[in-house]
Amino acid sequence: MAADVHDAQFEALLQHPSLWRGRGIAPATGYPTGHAALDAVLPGGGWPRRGLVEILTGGGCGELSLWTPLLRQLTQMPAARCCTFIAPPFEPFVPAWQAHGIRLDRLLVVRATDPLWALEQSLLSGACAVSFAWPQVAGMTALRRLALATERGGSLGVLIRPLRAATEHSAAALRIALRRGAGCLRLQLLKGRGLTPCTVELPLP
Amino acid sequence: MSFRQQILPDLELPLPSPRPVPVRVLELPAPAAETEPAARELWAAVQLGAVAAESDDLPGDAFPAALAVLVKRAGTFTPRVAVESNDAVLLELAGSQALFGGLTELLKALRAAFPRPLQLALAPTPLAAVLLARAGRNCCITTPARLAGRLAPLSLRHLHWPEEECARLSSMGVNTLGELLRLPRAGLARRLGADRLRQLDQLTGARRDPRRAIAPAEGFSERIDPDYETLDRESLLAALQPSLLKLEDFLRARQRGVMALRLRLHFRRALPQVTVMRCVVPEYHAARFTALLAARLESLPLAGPVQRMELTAGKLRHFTAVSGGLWAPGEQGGDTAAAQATPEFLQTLMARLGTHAVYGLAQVDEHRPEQQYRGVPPLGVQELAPVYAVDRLRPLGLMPVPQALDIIQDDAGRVKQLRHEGRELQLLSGPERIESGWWDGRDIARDYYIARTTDGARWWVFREGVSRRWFLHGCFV
Repeated sequence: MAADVHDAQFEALLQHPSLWRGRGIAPATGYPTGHAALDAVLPGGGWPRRGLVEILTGGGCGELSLWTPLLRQLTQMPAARCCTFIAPPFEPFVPAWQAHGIRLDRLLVVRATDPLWALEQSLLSGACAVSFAWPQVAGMTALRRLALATERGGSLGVLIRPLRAATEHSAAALRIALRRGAGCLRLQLLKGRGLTPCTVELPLP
Repeated sequence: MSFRQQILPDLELPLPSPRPVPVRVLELPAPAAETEPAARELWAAVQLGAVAAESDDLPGDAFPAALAVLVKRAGTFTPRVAVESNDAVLLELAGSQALFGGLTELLKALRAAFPRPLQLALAPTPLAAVLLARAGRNCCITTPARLAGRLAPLSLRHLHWPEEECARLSSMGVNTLGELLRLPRAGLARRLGADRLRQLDQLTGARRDPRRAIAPAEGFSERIDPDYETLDRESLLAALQPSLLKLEDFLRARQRGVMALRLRLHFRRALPQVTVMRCVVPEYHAARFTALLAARLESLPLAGPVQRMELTAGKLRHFTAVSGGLWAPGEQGGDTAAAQATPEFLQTLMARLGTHAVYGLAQVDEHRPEQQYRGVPPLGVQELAPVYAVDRLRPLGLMPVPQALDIIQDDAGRVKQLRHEGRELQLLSGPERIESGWWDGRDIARDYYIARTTDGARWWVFREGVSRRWFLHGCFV
């Protein structure tokens, strides 16, 4: 009985975010992704609150639909920070975003010939909760610089890149390859702090 | 008198006072009626005289240059300076008498500032002062009671009323102001209009005549000569630094901010180059200006080594300082910092990418997909347009322009296969007909389908009603 209480207290202590454990990474609580299956495998139980995330996809596979629950949550918050889209290869189609419950006045679209510069600015400024970018090229040094910017600005950066970039080295905190399976969205979690590489299948919306 | 009574008179029951206290009733002034004149004023009118008055319609500024000089000089006497119909400057001097040591001294100073060819007259109402100055009566009337008597002999033409009105009055035997003021008010209002009656009331002081004081426009402009001609952006920024600090001091002292900053670059062998930086909110920090200029100079192609720079601040705007956050962004309570960081972030982006490269989104009540949204200035107020309810699945991304699909036909001429850049398409659901806009010439008649490609992407495609051609319009990203 007493041992149980001690164990519970000990476990609570271990959950403290400032505690860093050698074997794993102390889980910093993340944003819930809106998909229970994904929350279960992601370190911190959701999308990281800061850091660089790479989504590798062929395009049109639902790489943004994956983020709509988070965008809804972030834009509906009081005193919400912006959610920025840098050089998307499309125009955001407003009725669809509204249908997902996303507040429009917190969204920002940036048309830049050098998306990486704009992304670094938005990550450093601390004005954006999350910034999505579609860069043409992103070398290892650039990614490392962006990862540092996320740490300094305390924001989340999401890079949407083609699948062929999976073979390159990356400084991103989380790398996910996205493919469409039969009636499902197949997420291959390639890399992440405290993450065991695995594949998650999410039902299609 | 007991001690108790002395100290705590209010807490006891009313005691008989030793002797009756006389009750003093304060007479409140009756509420000021519209017709009642305002506090005692003393207006001086300085008139340019016949020569300058003819050059009334000079093009350009708000008033002629000769008058601008007088306005500037009048500013040394009083802040309440106004201009009357482009031929006279009005000064309200009631408050300035004590400063100049009495009326006599003030009049001397006025005469010294506005010497003889200029007509100078003082009266309790602005219009009376102007009329007396126009008539060349260099006098000083301080009591309103004497005003009507002094105005009476003046000719009607000094009123600068239209010729036909003066002619009509003169045919009625009315040639002087005294005769005009003697006419019955009702008849005067009927013949000349209520506006003229109001003017006469303002002339005699029966009605208020408020004047808007001319506020001198302030501005900031600096010329910077770098030590040597250079193409190096860093050196240019360093050369600009002292001026930016001076600008910050200038704005700080006035509690103002600017939303635009113009930089003009002069070259030895090329025409001057002008670039304008715009801010989202009024700014005054030199550090912010430096960051904006750095972002701009980085992307600005220079025509050659810069010889000279001119920095001009835009219109000064009211500026409300925001309390800074105690915590750095990312620490606890970093939200306030985020609210502060947002305009800075937007300005930095706009300075480098251009104002139109950064935008927010708004919904438009429309059925045509390409017109259901529009770009708006970033982070504006959300419009509460009626939401066009979408019960169908819509893609998150729309192509700016629909892209034509390749059609592969079979022998009978029917569509066998749709392709886009080598990817084969398979229709999943549809059609959904959207037909609208016949009234404005951009009408559409389309059957929309959801399609999937061989590699799993889902697209929103349509077939045009008339041409039967296929297009890719959206992407389920």
